[in-house]
Amino acid sequence: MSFTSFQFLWAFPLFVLLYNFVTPRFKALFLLATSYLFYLNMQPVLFIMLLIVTALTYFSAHYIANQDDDDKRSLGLRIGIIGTLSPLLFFKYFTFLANTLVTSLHLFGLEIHPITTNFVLPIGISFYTFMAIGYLVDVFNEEVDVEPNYISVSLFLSFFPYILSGPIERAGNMFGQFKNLKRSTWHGVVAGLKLMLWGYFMKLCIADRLALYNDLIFNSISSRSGSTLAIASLLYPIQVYADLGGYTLIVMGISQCLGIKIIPNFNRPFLATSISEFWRRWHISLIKWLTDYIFTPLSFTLRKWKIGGIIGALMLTFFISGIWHGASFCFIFWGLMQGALLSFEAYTNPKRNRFEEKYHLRHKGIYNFICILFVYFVFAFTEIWDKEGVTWNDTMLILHKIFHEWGTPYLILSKFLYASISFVPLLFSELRNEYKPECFLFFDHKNIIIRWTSYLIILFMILTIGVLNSSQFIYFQF
Amino acid sequence: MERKAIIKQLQSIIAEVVKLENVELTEENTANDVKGWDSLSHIAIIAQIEETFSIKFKLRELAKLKKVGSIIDLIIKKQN
Amino acid sequence: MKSIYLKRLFKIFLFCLIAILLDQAMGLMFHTIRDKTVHYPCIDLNKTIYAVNKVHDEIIIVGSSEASIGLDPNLIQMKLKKTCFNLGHTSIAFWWEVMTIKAIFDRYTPKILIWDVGPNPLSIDVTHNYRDIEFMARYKDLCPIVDSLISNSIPERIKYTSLSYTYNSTFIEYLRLLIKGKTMKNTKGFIPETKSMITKANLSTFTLNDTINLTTKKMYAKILSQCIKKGCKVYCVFAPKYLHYTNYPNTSIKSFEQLCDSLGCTSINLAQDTTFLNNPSYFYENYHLNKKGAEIYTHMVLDSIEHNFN
Repeated sequence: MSFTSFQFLWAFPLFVLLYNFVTPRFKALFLLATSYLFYLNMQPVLFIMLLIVTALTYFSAHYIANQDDDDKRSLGLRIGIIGTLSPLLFFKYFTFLANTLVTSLHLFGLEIHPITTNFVLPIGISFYTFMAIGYLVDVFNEEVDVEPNYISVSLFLSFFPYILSGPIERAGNMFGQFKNLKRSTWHGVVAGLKLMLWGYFMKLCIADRLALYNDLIFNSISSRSGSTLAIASLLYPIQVYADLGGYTLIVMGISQCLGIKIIPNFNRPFLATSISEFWRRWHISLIKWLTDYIFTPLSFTLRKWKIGGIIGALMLTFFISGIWHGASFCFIFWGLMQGALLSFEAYTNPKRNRFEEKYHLRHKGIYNFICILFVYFVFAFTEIWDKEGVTWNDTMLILHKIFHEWGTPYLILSKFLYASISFVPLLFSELRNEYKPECFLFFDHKNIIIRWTSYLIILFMILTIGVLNSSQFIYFQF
Repeated sequence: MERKAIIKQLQSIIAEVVKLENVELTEENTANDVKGWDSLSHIAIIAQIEETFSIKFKLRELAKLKKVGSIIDLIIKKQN
Repeated sequence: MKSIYLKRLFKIFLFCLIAILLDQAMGLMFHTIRDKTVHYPCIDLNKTIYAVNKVHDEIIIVGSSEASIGLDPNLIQMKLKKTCFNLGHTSIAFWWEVMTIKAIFDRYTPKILIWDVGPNPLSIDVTHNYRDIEFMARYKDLCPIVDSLISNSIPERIKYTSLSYTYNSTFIEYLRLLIKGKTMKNTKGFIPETKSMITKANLSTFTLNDTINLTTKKMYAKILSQCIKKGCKVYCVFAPKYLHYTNYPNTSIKSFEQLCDSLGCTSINLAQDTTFLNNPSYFYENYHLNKKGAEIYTHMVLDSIEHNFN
């Protein structure tokens, strides 16, 4: 069941109602049963992988926590990580690695048939695997106590709001909450519904609107002009932000209705004035995970090479980020590009600081605005490689067309107008939250009339502008 | 070495790495409390601490280097 | 304590009430705008309300984009000396076509109905093909068939109680029509394509589905015989395609043509006519003619009609 489906609209209030009738002792079990049913409804067969990874995680954590010997603890951690990582590696990367091997063998004259079947990916495996590994490392580092309750561990890895697309949560944040599940409060539900309303607005009115145009363009690259591809590429980051950001808000809102707090995934990323700042504001849960479990230990190990060590750690971390997004050279290249950009910034940071101090640029609005635009353009450029299903040839064709076949742009004005209308509240909200967080409140205004008016405006924007079914593009009847 | 003295030295190390004029720290502070003390500067800070106090941290001690108080504990432990 | 619960319950009730009232008010406002567009030249947006409220031409063309792009009502008017209007509409499917036809025949009986049914009408399962309802819902107050389709399913009934939802993604188009409409030329519903996108003259092949859905056949039979009973001459046309169908005509299409024969209506099948298969310059793209192709296609349909009349 998708959170943007009509069934969810009636199933969710029913679920919250039932949740509040269950005694606190059984709330965790109730959530686990709901999460498992939710998962089974979407993908019954590969549900077994989730169960296997849960069991492995639970028992590895216990082994690690119960050993006094450092070597045995390390062994337990290594086995746990390899065990939980293996299903992800197999389902996601087997076909890609095998075909890469086949291609390399071609270069040596060996003709082997490439594998054409892609394994169906167990839903959420990229997310629950990372959460499991994070938990094991936290237990190893004694940052988190091993969780004796199997239900808590199962729920942590399968909690239905975040299992599909994150955020990637931490054991330290969730176990405590799962042990203290209480009744929903009025303020909690109102806060949750507000988050959900805004999340649906972002996803349905902005992301899905822009997708109608972008999907059309990127599915017909060879027949589009460079200017069209440039426009679509510039709009794409906003689409991704509204999509994943909106979705995360819905997840946070659902959890908030149950009294559970989930970490946010975005912090106004397009107002960043540097690439490093951007990556502190974009897909926060993933970057924090990569920072805590890959980058920091790696850069620590390489610290004697000073800036060289940092660069090496950045490149490897973002290589992993790229490959986590998808099993293709485009994603790997995308990751390496991010690593290279961040390395460049890290290397030139002292010079940049001196430059900014010399001309007192940090507080100059125009300078910050230029930096914001620059970061956006750079990110939009790298996003050409960050698309599901795009091939290397596609990306090269897009670049070629943008730089050599500018042509006339193909614009669907009405679609742009709807998206632009929706963009106004989002832009306002981002700027307000960044620069004047206590002013111009609407959802949180003291006056109930202003609050309700703003809820109704957003609600009606969703009803009249939101893409509530996907057959809204012009198609020809067959 | 006394805790107060160690905190003073930490303050000057961190101030130098993150390029701030003054850094005031308490034992409860973490990286989140100091502007510029992020994952990139964290390793530089750790390396500088190792050099200043002539100690070497281990990988598994990395987790304890998040709070000022536990950094001081480790420094004292390693110096003895 | 109890008073807090009551207060909150009252708040929820009041908010829902305001939302519902606003929704209905917005819906009525949209209905008014929709009805006003009857006075403007027809684009897809106002074709249905024009069919429901105003059209009175002797010859009516119904179908999807193949009809609105391919058949020139002005040419038909000139040749047959009868008024003609093209109610072809992009993305339309069976139920929307039926809604349009019923709306017309409820008011008067046209002399001729030209229905573009191509390419493979009986292969679609119309009882499970309700994708049109999304767009038909805003005519619920005017067309009883919409209500009867919606009432087949409870979620659909709940969804379409929201009037503003039925106008999803339309208000900019309505605004544009209201602002620009007065200066638009009245082409009697004909929306030709002046461009030609077919650059390579090589024909792609396509294999049509060869199923005959009996319920679909029954529905077509019902609608067609109702029109014929009222004294209208019905022509079912299959527009030309720049595609080579490997199995043409398949049993499904033959069955439809036989149905037409048995009911007394004429089928004009030009889907694989060589005049078009040999001339990619007549096409905008594989499924649609351009203006030049439309002229030739309309003339060929007219020849069949005249031949049939005599």
